[in-house]
Amino acid sequence: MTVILVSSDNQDFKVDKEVAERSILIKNMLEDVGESDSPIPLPNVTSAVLTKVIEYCEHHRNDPVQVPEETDDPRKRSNDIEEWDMKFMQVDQEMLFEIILAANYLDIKPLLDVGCKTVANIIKGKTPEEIRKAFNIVNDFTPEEEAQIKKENEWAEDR
Amino acid sequence: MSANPQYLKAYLRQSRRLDIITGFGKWVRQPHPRRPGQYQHQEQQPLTPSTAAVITTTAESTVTTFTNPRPSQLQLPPELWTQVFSFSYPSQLGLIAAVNKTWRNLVQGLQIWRLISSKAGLLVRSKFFPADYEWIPDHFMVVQEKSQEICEECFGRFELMKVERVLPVGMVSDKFCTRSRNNNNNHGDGDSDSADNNNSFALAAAVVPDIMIQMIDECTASLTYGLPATYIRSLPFEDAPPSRTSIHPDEDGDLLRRDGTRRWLRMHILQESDVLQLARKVHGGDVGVAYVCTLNISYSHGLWNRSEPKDDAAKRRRVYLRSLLYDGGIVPTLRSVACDAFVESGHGDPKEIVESLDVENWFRSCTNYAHPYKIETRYVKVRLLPDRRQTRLQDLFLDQKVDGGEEGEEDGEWYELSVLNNWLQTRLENGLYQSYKLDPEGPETPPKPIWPLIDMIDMGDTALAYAAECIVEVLMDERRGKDFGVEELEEFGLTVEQIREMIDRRAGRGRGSREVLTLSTLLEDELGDGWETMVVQRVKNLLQSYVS
Repeated sequence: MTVILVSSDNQDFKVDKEVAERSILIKNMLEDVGESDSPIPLPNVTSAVLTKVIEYCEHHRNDPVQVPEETDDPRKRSNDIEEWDMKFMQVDQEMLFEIILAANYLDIKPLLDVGCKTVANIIKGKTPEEIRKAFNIVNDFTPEEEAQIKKENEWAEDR
Repeated sequence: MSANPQYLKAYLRQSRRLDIITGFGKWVRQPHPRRPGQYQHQEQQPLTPSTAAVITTTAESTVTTFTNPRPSQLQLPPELWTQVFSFSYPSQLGLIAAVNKTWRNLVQGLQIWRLISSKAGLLVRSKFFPADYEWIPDHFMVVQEKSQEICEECFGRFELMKVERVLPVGMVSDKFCTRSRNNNNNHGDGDSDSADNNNSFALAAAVVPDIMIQMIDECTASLTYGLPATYIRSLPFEDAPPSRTSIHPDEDGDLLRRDGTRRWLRMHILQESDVLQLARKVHGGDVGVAYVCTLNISYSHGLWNRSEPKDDAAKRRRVYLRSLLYDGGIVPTLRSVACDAFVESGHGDPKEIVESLDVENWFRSCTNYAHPYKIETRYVKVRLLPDRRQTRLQDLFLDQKVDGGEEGEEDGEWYELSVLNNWLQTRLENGLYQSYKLDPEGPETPPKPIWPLIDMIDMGDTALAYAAECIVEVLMDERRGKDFGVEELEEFGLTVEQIREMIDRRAGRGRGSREVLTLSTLLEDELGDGWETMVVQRVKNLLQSYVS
């Protein structure tokens, strides 16, 4: 059985139900709506992003469903990304964010995790200034706060 | 179209995470003017039932009007940044928190941050604490001091000691602090709890200059944390409640009223900015020690008897370490803490570990001197606060000391030096006068890392002492055990030839050397001109001690 997904730029994507159901959003929707061949509009996902997302879902179509992690034991690592996923995530930052947003919206937890890990890896080892540059973030600390932070940085350096 | 558009709409709406899904209109993300780091929709078109009802049309119209101008900077919403941070290493969090205010807030709201805070008993702002009860103070403090460590690699937590304390937070003056701190020190009557408290206090004081302490009664504590009073009463802190006078002699009676039901808990208050600093401290070093401690306590077998590593990275590390050990011809000792730590968590430099094992093996094989942990643990990268490290390692290794000796002072090197001195003496007695570093024969050639240590031993002095012993033995033999008289000693003297003859007869010729080396030549080499007078002086001293 196939499902038709419609991207924001009105492009149809015909995918296996199994693949589409990697998205919990779509899965729940299909379960509730029942047998239906009506296309599913995904107004927040462009075709470019949707292509990527579907590519991911196709590759991971047989993965076991993730057991919800215990929040108490944050055994998470940013460096345990699978090789395929790592390659898959080699996109520009804009696309990376788009994928994360789409994964979040479509509720594809593994994809969201991989995306977040990738971003975490970008942040890793960077100084605050480098992070600001990398993500185009404005430094909104007051001079006093800035001084305090500088002090903290000095502290870290002479360790 | 059979799907109920309302249904779809509902789904899209309740998809809880992002508000981008609520707008089907123009979707232009741009930085929020007031909340930096966040994005906003340009078009804030409220979703009315009527727009929802024509979802298909809306979707279509979206197609025509949808423009994604790809602003140079697409931003993630805060919730997603939080998720990203949750994958970051704790040590990075401090830096992340220094990026901007939004991020700072996000980081401080993280669960891992709370864990970090709780690790050393720092403050957690009340807004990040679940408020299930009525009264909320400005700050909370969850103290699980010494109870857990966080591993940078796996975010796992390691239980060191099952000591948990939950203490309420309040603010008092500096003056108060100093006084109660002093009183607290006088308070310690050898009981382990108060000693522990003193330690932890010293630690906190070392981190933060302007630390403050406050007493809060258990009723407030239970209110603050929503914990049953029985639990609060079970906390170790409570065991030594400071007496009223010890808190503050001229304190307002109201504040410190203690009747039978109220007991005062002592606690630390740190400044908010210190939390940031703490995050930096939760770093590899800490974890390394945590690992060492954990392993020492819980494993009685060595690295190689342990179960297979769980993940591939650990397996790779083990293979690598094994190959290094193999190359160095080193058989790992029964228990190798450093190896364990490296395989399990990647802490420490494998090459340094192998070197340290080499040294340890040498000590063991050549000196009959068991030296189980000391050397190894030194090579695990330790970057703890000094006093904390000391406390921990002392806890673990105090009973490992062989000799009571110089307790505390430079015991690290003293330990090895005494071993090496013994070793050198044995070599002299066996006629091994050749360079002690580059013995071509002995399997006992010391590993390079301890050569500097050997240099610290006065080889000449050691040889001198041995030569004097030889001469005395020869003299006593000749006199058939008859002691020297005092007058005899005054005039005692030997010629160079006599000395040479005596010690070389006794000590024999050097073995295992290319040119024939004798003890006398060694003395000459080591001591230079005037060596004979030094020998005579030594002999005289020795004889004198026999006489008296």
